[in-house]
Amino acid sequence: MNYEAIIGLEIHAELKTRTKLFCSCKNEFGGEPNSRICPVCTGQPGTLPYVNGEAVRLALRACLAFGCEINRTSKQCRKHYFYPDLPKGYQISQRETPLGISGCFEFISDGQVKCVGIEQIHLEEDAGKLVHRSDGKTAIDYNRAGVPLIEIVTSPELHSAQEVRDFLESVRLRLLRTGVSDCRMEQGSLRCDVNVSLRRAGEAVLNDRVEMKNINTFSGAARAVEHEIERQCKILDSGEAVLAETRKWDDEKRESRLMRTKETAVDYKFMPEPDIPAYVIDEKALTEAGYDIPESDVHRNIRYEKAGISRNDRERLIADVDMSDFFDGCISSSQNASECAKLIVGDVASLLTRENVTLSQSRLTPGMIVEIADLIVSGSLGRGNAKVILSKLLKNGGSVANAAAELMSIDDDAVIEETVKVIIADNPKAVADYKKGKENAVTYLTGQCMRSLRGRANAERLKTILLNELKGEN
Amino acid sequence: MNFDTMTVGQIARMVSEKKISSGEVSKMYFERIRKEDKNFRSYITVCEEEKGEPSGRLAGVPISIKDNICMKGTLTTCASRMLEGYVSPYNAHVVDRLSSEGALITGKTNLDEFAMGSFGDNSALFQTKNPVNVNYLPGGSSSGAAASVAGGMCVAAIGSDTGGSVRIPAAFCGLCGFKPTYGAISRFGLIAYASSLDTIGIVTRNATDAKLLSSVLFGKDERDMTSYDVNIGECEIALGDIRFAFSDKDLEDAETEIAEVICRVRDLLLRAGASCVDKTLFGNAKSDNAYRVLACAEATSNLARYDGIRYGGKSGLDVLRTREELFGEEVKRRIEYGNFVLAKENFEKYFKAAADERTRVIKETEMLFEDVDVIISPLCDFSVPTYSNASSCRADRFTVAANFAGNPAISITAGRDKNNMPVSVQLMSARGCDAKLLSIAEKLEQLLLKEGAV
Repeated sequence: MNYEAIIGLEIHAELKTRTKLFCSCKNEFGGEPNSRICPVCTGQPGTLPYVNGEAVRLALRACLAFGCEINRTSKQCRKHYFYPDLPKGYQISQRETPLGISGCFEFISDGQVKCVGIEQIHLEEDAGKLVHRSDGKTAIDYNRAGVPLIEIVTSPELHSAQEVRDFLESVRLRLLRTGVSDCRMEQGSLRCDVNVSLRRAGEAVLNDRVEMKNINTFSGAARAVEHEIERQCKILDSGEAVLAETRKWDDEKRESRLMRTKETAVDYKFMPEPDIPAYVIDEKALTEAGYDIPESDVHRNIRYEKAGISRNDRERLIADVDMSDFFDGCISSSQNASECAKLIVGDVASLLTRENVTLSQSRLTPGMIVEIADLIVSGSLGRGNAKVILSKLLKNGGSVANAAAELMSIDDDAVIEETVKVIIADNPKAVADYKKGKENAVTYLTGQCMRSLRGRANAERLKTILLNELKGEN
Repeated sequence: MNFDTMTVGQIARMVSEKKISSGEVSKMYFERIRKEDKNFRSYITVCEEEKGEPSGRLAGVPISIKDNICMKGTLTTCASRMLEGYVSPYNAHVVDRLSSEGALITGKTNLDEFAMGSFGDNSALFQTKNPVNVNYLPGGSSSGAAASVAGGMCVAAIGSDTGGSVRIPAAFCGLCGFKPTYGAISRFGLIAYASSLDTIGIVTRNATDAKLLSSVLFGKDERDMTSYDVNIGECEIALGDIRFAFSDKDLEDAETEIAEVICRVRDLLLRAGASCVDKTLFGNAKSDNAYRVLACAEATSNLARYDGIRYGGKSGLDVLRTREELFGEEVKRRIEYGNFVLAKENFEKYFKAAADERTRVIKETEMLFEDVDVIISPLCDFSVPTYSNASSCRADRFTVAANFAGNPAISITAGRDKNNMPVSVQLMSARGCDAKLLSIAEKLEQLLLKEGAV
């Protein structure tokens, strides 16, 4: 039987704020357990939340970056459940009036531009973490409690594991480029749940969906989707129905485990948060949040394509925020943008890896790349030499002209000696003059040598070698 | 020193004029607490410690704090076994404000568990007695607050009022109970019962003291986003110039003695030249039910954090058994009701409907106050109950409206019944008009005193 997979995602991204959502504890990762906590983020009796304006600004920025409509009056709510890492017994989240709704996000998958609806983006707080210790006891670390998160809920409009992966990668880049989140997967600052349901190809009716939790990487998301599609196929092929349930993905074992069914589903008892007045989003707040949102990557791709950049180079540039920003510095002033792109994704990328530095740590500037590209295109510089120049500039900075001159100077004494010997043999009169004590004979011979070497020798060095040779004539 | 009549104003004056040192005041009051509180049991924790000579508008003034308000390094129990042994790591906003004005904080007072109750008979720790007559209930939930003032064991008490919890015990103990506009005093550090209804309240001997304390406690606080600046400056208004709402409907179920006292207040005001409109906000069953739905829903949410992991954890029980064993019956009843109204299938019918009703009531209240300065009503339409006859009474009929709509309200003693127990009148005014309300209450008190009513 042929089935179509219908996939929706719930993506959680930690916001890049200085402090937590409702208190002034630092929003950082790692460190001693419970070293960044206070009465507010541990939910001590009597404390109240105080909203971090920077978090609201970044969440709004995310809404705008994903094309959402903004709810001009937006309210936090309480979502109740018992879990030891949830200090208040509820999470402050949003439900009825999230900051953003009805967005849409374009991304590129398999060379095609696709569009997925964004049902809502809302602002909420993260929970703490359970630490299972070696002595068998479980401890709670509240450092993460109260860290601001946005949840991006997509429409069920993705259809394959590869699409899910490409979508997630595009979302990650969007969040990075807008400065909303630093998207450190390994630190859990970007996480997602996937909802999967299947239907017979061509049918319109949607079956019950299965939610998969505990997905920590994009490749894990793809594997979980693939696995779930397979599982549901088997169930449907055997004539049975797939039940609405929540499953926990185990990426190591490549299997999912039932967490709860529809019958045992938790009632979160949503309620408006009485301690936080509704946010009233005015024009000023919108401007502050969104005036400098960078172009979308789909647009960036078109721009690069028009500049003649190959598909491979475009993909590599777009996938790297620093590199594409750097490249944008070249594209505006270069006649040879595609050569610049080639240099950046090729030589520059490999040199950075070799030196283990980032673009911003290196001393390269977009202007250097533009000059080098011009030299290459005009035929004055070979690709091999270009890489040598780049390597020097990356470490030491300086001008392209100097680096090129240095590259072309002869510092091999043997080559100079060879030339000196030939010139001495060819100019017996001048040598005789020298022996008579005529000093300007040396100047003449040096000039002859330099001409023969096309000026590429160090003058001091040449003079020393020449004098040595002349003395040897005695 | 006459402990039974001493006021905030008097002590503040005596200390500032150096007629007595704050150290001497402190010594006398702690001595008084040691001697008297075994009879009334108003304090859960007494905070006797040596302090330097304080300065400020309340220098040396002994004030008690209800034990659902946090004080750094001090037990904060909410009179519940769930918080037995819990020491708060920070100061509530009101504690900071009082301390910065040099007040002497005498200790933490008893209450109905988690501020749930109207009679002061629902503490999980012990029973507080009414200092006016120990055979009568002290009123709640700020039972210890009122008893500590009435018993002369401090001159003012900070309590909390979610549906009358400051006004009722103040009335039962013959004192003045003031519940300000919602948001006028920061709730930071007040352990939440129902966040959108909870208000810090003040128990004093008279409205003048309430005004003095309000001027210290009012003001926007960064840490409570629902707080804002409410004017508490001087407001001169003559009783003859006021227009008040009063309705005989509010007296329909009242005991005769109560009705007489309240009617006398009306007549005094009319005689002073005030004008009267026949209107009332009270006794609407639909809005009273809506109040209960929201109060319980928020209580359920606010009390969700007591899961036996961080508090009540020494019991070594699981979440359900911790809550079953450490919460009292009334608390559990309200949590259960809150869970019911918040359940997905009931939310629209109960919670949403209640929230809509609240919006309607707020509008109705605002409209009424476009016409009048205050509403005059009984604080309670029956005499202070004894331990045996409390269960049949509803003490909050006239008090919940102020919390539901966020308005300021004050109860002052207006007379005595045949058993010489106090009978109180309630004055409620428009949101933000706290200064005017206090000024009217102050003048009415003086008038009642002059007329020999109290």
